[in-house]
Amino acid sequence: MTYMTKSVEELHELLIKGETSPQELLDEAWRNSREIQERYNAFVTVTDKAEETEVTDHVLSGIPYGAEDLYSTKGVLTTGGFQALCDYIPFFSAGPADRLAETGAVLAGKTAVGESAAVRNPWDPERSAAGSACAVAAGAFPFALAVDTGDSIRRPAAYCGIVGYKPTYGMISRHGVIAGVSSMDHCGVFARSTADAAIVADAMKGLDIDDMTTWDSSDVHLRAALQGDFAGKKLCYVKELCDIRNYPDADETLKAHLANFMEKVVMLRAHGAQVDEVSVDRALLEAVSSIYLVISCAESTSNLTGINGLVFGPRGEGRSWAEQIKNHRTRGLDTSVKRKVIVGAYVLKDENQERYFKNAQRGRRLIVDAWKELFRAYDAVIQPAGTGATDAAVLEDAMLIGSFGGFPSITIPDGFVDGLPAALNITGNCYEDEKILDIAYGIESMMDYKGQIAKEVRK
Amino acid sequence: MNKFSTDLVDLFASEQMFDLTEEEKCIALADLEAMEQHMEKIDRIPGIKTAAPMTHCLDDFMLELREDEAVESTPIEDLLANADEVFDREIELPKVVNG
Repeated sequence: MTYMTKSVEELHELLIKGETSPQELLDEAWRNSREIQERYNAFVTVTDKAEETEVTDHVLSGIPYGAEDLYSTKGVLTTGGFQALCDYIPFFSAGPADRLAETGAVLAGKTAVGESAAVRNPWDPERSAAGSACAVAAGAFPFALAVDTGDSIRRPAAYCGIVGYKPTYGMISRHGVIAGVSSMDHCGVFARSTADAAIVADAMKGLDIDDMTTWDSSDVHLRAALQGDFAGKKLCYVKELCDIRNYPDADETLKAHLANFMEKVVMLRAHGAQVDEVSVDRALLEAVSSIYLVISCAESTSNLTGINGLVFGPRGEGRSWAEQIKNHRTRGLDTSVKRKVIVGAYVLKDENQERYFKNAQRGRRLIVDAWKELFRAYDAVIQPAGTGATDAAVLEDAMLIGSFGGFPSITIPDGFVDGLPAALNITGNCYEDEKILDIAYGIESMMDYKGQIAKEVRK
Repeated sequence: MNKFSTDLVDLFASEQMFDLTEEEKCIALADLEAMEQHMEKIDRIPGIKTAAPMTHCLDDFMLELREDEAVESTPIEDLLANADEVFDREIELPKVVNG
């Protein structure tokens, strides 16, 4: 019997009936994780011990899961993807991991940080993937935690044929999660169904005295809100992103992704949803990636100052504290991080802040305002997610807007192009997570891609 | 005249307390040289000059003051557990002032 390909609710039922045990599930999760590590390099750590767990009424009790290596985990190596933290063992767990532990969910492994060329996509090992997305898609466990800063849950979910959900900013605590871009970092989840994503977010969310960006979501019940009835819902898509006529040099893959998207638009209309085409100033869309670059580099530079090797990480060599820090950072930050820090340092200089950093923040507001205007008339904005098309930059960058605004945003699989997963992203206004997940749940229910496990289509 | 140079990149790296290889310097220089193109895209957004900078996702976010209550602090031993060089109950650093 294979368990890790099942949903959380299916596993809970088996546990309650006594047809399996938390230890049997964990053993399988460990076994699968080691195989997936061997094949796709998705893990930093596969744990080898866990506290004994009892099966309770909580649907997550006894369920194994993974966490991106940005989440501090008590007693378990947490590198944050940095060589500089190669030996860091936290003495506490991140807020979301603590809340999951309270439910009885069991940490089975720490996954590689972000979308990385070092992690192979389980559908096509010649492509890259994010560690948590790869692990869930390949069947290590039913869900995994990750951090979405730009679109780093929602885009890898698309590539791996699974669900990726980023809630409204501040709904889930980031205490103990290694900070990247503080004004855009969101804790979220990869799963193989909207219901599983909702269950996990329900368990993790809530006020946290250790994270002052959290807000009271005690009246939000994501799983309970999933009814799937979206007749009468008003959706829109942005013509400048989704109309093939915007891409005169489109290759066959992009054409197929956009055709797949338009098929879904027809399907939604047939099921009673209103789906309108709307227009947004192209100047806004073309500036999205530049705005992200400036803000993300600036905030990363600030957050990375804490990496100095004195309090944690291997101590650098040198005769003074300054030499030791410099040696530690030179060896411990890789080229991609140093590039960000150089740009960040430049845009944050007193004489440059107004021109670069503040202007990027102004642009961010105008883009968010444009999306909020859409939300005044529509329940959600939809778009194809993760087409991978290099000739459609505005489309590929558009999910960054979900992070700019802190909007709830979810990607679900919606078909295949060239044998690889295609996906649909649904984004709504802040605090409307229940509505957005319910729309996703309804759309997911019309198709056959829920719960799918990756099958290598190119070997 | 180009306002960026590898010397400037070196200066920024030094201020940020790391060294760069020659290859990294060239990459960072290209990144800085591309900044004006990025800013041109941002400048083209209608209304960019008068918009208020956005610093927080949630317009209605209100910080609530906590009760002024003493809470248990983290044991010093825990805080020192990941430091490589510790003396007594403090992080040890090279001497700053001689004599």
